[in-house]
Amino acid sequence: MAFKLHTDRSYESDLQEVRNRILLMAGHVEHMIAASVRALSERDADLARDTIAIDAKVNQAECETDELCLIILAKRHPMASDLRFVTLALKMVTDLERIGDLAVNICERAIDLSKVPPLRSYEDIHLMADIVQSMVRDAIDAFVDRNVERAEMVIERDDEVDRLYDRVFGEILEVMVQDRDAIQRGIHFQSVAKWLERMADHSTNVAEQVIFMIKGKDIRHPGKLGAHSFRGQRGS
Amino acid sequence: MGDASDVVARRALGPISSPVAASEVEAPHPERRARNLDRDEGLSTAKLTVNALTAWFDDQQVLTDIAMEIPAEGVTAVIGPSGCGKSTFIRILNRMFEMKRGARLEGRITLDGEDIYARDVDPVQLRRRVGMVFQRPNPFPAMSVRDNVLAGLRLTGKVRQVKGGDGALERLVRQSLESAALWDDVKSRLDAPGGQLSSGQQQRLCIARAIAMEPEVLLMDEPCSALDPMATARIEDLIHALKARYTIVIVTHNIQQAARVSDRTAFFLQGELVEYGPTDRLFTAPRDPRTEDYVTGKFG
Repeated sequence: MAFKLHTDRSYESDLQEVRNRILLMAGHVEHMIAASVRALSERDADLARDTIAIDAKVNQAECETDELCLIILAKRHPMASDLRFVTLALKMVTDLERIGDLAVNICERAIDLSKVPPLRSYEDIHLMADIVQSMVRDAIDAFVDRNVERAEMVIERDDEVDRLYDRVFGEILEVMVQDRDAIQRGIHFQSVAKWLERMADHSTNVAEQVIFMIKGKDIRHPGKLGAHSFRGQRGS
Repeated sequence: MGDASDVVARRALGPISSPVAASEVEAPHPERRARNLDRDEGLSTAKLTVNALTAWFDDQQVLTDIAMEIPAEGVTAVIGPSGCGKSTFIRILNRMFEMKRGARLEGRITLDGEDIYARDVDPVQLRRRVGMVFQRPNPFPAMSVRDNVLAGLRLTGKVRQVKGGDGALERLVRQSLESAALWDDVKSRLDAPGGQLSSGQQQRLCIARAIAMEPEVLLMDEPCSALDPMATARIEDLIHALKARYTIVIVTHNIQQAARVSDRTAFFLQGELVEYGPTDRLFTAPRDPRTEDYVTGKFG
């Protein structure tokens, strides 16, 4: 689809800069998810430490994007889809930063668990990580391509991650009931599964925000908030 | 597994912004289409109704088939690029349009249901009910502040209808200046020439002059375009206060101002009414790509 650029080219370039920073940040986060779970399964403490180091770049990207968005809001007074884009960017970087923090948590557990015997197969954890990574990737692709269907698919996959989390949690609980020595490692594993599940929630948030950016329609908490619209409350 | 820079590179960059996806825009109900607005968007009884309005200056068509209802409550903003017909449109609402040579129109414009272009309507009487504030403050510079407030009443002979003599006129001057948020600035110099006031004060003096006529509708044609930001803020604050008592229609080329002061916004382009709806929606999720382009600055 042919699209128009902003008449003021420096404004266009500011908005492009926000998008590039988000893409860079998302790239770091995708990498951290995959690396954290690999560090866990391969018992690779060095990889875990290298991955933790990437979090500083994610945090820096969050602060820079926030600052750039505030400058755009103050100087440009964005309207319509530009306004939705800038407010989305402000929220999106928070979710991406949180995903990065959760990957750091997994890396820290990977370092601890690398010093003790393995507990069990990592198959489901890997499966969860693969899905979460694809959710982040697709949420960002949906953002770039303005693709509502892709964003909706991200939201649907959250249920799959929830089911996997319940299964992993139950299986580890059973191992801990049968083997008291496995309790400490089991709790670590349950935490890893929980953090992956939280990552999926943050990816879902991003996907919902992308849908708002494209449609101009808030799809969060459908039917659960009653007359929540500020616009509705103000009347005309 | 690539690193972050690969991720940026592999994602082809599409448009950052575009209007709300076409598939998401609900088609207007056929009966609503005629008015180019949605009943469920908070509109109530119309104060002014415009139907099938087309206008020309000589052979040049300047407005095309405008249909629009302006409710009594709140502020209606009219926005659009230069030459879109927005100033012509509001000048039609108080029949100042016909004062220009070569001006003619078709269509029906009603105020409280009565055709304002009917043969028996006196334009001067109509303009008492539909007052106007212009782009540049235009008080009579040598006339005192007091006389400026009363100028409209004197010119239309309405001053004779004010009962209670000079005391009543003084009260009217004070009330009008208070309503225009100017009383405190000028109460000690009511006899000073209007031309001695600052630009912002002069514009509020013009608003006081319009208010003294006790209008029902106040039309404002770019009322802040000649004012500095502080004076503009005072006028905008005044608009918020006045909208409880008057139907206000403001034409502005400043879209941020339209967003700040109005409850509904109409976007005009090349003589057509492109989109009309609640300001909160029009500036966050416009439905027409032409509105989107204009409010996001992708024009020309």
